[in-house]
Amino acid sequence: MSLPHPPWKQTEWLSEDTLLLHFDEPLSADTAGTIAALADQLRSLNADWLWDLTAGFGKLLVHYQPHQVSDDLLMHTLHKAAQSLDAGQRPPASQVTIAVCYDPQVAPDLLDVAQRLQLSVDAVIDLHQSATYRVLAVGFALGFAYLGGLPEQLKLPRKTTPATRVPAGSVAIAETQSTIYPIETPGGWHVIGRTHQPLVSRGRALELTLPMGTEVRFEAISYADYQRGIPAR
Amino acid sequence: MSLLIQRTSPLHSIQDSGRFGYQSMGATPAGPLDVMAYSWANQVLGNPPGLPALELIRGGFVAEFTKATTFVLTGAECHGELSGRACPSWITHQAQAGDQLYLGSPTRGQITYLSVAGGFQITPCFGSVATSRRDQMGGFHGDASPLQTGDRLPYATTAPVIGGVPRRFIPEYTTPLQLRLITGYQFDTFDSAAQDHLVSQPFQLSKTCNRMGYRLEGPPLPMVPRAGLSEPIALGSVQVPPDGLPIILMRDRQSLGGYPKLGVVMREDLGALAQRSAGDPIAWTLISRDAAQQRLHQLHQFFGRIV
Repeated sequence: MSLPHPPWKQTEWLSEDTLLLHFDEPLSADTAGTIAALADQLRSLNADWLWDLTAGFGKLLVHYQPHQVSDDLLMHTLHKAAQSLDAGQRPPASQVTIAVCYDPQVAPDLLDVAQRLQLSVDAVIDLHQSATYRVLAVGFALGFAYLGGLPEQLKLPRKTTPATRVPAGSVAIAETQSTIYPIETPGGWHVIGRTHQPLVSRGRALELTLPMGTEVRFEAISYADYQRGIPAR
Repeated sequence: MSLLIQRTSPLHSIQDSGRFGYQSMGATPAGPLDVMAYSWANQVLGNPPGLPALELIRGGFVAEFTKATTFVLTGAECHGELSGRACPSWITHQAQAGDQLYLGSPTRGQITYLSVAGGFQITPCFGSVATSRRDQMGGFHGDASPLQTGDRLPYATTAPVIGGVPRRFIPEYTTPLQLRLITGYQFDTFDSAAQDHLVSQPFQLSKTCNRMGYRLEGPPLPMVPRAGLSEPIALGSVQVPPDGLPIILMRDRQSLGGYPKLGVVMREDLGALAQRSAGDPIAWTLISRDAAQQRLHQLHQFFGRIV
């Protein structure tokens, strides 16, 4: 696939040591893939001056050390990194399947969601499993992935009053997205299932199950299997 | 061989310059709320920039040095005493084994940094000891759990150091604060009445401030654009929720947020903000990104590194 040059549409020098890149189509899977690939390419430079990156919904924030790199050289490096994405073979998006229990015992909002969408509970579950999702952003909490690709029939606004306690592992939907809560937190998304799949690995390195750009599918498991602690395959 | 904690509070934490490389995973960088006072602490001790220090918000700290060392307090004055002798901030002090450090309530400012020559020796968690309660990382125990009475923070033996911050660089923390804003993000989508309002109306610091964000009170902005998609949040970003009152996002901010933003507060002013008390007046002025970056360059040259 060939990208327009540069792949972003606008750059904004945001603060003393940050540059914000704006991309078109913030809700598209392709944009998420491009940003993830550009971020990987930049990280692979191991540049002293590249301090951090924050990405999501068509934006990439570059945190850098302005005393170690000029704004001109930073911009040049970004352009070169973008060009090398074109020239090289971009690896396909990694794919993850999450085993979800949709039993109402762990899906407190499932009946309500079905009623509000005028669908059967089974139809909600089937629709949620039918889609292939893409991680469009990671944030809010460590490992919290915003999954684009929710079927149009499942679109609902967030709750007007957020739940005070959403358990870790809750699989939820809101607007045009789905997510999995990595930790227990208050939250305004509609919880339609639960998974044991860990989302953050704190071994020698910190790693996410669902980094930006990942393709995600959901697969139903029974309540009995969920209770036996069946994780994703 | 350590600093033995005898009285502490949940507002006290271990910080270094922060944990970087994980914001794309949704982690918060953490780090010192007042990077100026923190940087001075390492500087006057001759430490490399970025060594671990104790961040003590609102004082109320007692500890015993079990081994001789040089230490410094920077930031807020808290009636500091070392075994009964006055122990003012901003200059180094020699502690002997068995000396007890006492900090009361702050008289000026809110946050005190305590650093020792050579820094506290604490095992980093993913590259940093900075305490991030959000992500349960860093700190003395590695999981961001609060410091406790009886904890012993180790430090190395070093030669004595004599140093101090020149008087002209010691901030008052009591003068009215004017925050310098680098406009950006959705600034242009606030109408001119709202933009004028920001720089002309008096705001005060709210009581509801924490390491995530500092909230202002006062006459709300007359117009606030609608929230958009969540986007990356730079340190010092100023978001305006529908109530029209700005929130300045600090070291423990979330990595993404969708409220409309006016831009970013210049780095040097964030520490000054963190040292203010509830009710203190806060005014706004605009600064160019170039001028703000020039200033950060100066600070980098002097302190070695500022993030």
